[in-house]
Amino acid sequence: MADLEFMKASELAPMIERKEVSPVELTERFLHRIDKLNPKLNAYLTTLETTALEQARKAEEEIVNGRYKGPLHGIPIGIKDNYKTKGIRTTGGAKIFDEYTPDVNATTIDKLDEAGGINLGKLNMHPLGAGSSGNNLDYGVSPNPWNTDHLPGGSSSASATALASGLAVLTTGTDTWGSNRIPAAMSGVYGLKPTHGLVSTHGLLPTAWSLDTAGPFARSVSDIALMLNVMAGFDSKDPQSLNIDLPDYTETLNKDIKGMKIGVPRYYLEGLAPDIETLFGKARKTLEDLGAEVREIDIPELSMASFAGQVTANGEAAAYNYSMMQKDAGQYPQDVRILLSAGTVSSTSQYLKAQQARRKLADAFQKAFEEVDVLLGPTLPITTPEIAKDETKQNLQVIQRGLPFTVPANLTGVPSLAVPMGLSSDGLPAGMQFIGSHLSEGKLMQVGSAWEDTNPISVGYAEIEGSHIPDE
Amino acid sequence: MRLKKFIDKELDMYGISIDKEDLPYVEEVLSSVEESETELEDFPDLKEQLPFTIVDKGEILNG
Repeated sequence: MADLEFMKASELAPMIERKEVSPVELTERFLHRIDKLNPKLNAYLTTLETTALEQARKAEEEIVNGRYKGPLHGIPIGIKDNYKTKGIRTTGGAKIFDEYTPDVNATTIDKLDEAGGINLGKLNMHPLGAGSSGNNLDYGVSPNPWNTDHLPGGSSSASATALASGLAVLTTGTDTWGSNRIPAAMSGVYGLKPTHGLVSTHGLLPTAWSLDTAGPFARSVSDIALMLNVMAGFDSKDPQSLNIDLPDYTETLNKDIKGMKIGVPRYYLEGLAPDIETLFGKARKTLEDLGAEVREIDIPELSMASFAGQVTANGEAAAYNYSMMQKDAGQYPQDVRILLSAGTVSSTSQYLKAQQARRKLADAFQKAFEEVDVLLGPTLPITTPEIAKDETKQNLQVIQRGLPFTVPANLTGVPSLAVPMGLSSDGLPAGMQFIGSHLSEGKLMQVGSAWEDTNPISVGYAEIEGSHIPDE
Repeated sequence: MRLKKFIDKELDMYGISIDKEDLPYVEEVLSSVEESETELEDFPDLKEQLPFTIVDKGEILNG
């Protein structure tokens, strides 16, 4: 069967349910690809051949015996390596945790297990989630499959590269200041930063507590919805978890967007690279052609996002890592150590000012959502950079350009769906993000799937450089 | 140079020792924060805002 590795979960699930595709054979196929491609793509820090096949055999037995659990049953999934996995090494992408094996699962891991998902392994990431380039100075970069000389974006770097190169059907990510959306943009896949508290963060290695979110990655919006249906939900172990009734996030897929009001904050039009400006202009026109009403709006409070985001993220990350930094700062990769050092010397009054700015920005967003249904902006103002020699400097540069575009959703707790926008002139993907009001994920699935239907990246994933298995 | 000395002294006070080569990068981050902080001047009512902090709603409801 052609390109099984690039099929969506929403396509594979009915085939698995009808027993046309075997979870064992599917898992073996992915493990074979990982074996062949991982030496080049460095996407998996830990591959789980034995346990993945055990899970697949169990899923197959259940399905054959009429106990089909739902759309993730028998689907191979890659897990970002800052999700705690019981009995399985969890490094957070940093050698400081090289031998850390948790004795519990993150709540979302339990949920994916219960849904019958197959854990293929633990994915490479920017160490400790503290970076946007996606380069990993400890374990090496998982390069961009579209062009392996380029960055993958971070921090959920391999959550995106694994999807773009057919090394998983679905992946998990975390997003603190853009960590799901930035790599999604750079590798041309879909990534969701959900409403704060919708998906449990219990059992994640923290980056910055008040900004951290866990969310799904996929090659389609329909798969994001399927995965969110499983990952979302109240968790008494997470004090930030929302105890609310949840919708079926697939219900709004494939509904038209005629009359939907989309606001483009002028803030998101400043300083765009020419390619991004061109692609974004085309995207706005396409959305208008679909019947949406796209208009520019002003949210002046967005200008505080860079300050609030940097101070909050660096400060909270520094607090979490303080004792380990005291013990031996040299054990951290340089680019992470820089941010932790900056967070350590920032003042308490700056941190509190940042929290006041968050309140003001949240109020401004709420006001904006009285006028428009969703907000839209490019995910990043820049195209995907080539990997530089000075990785530390490059990480700071990507943060300084990217964070102001992505962190507003983290600061205010609203959801944001990153979607591919098209290919820049160098043939690499670029992305844009729909931002909704609190708990408006259904609306984001609606507008995201309408956009996906316009086929923003016409080249198939199977055609890209990093997807080929070397000749045997 | 003044900022580099400040960073070195502050980190030393907190018992953290970093490489000298790190200092220009830390300085760059702090300069970026300082520069972005000027944007707050456009919002003089900021000091009236209630800081956005984590509240454990379960703990409140359950006493």
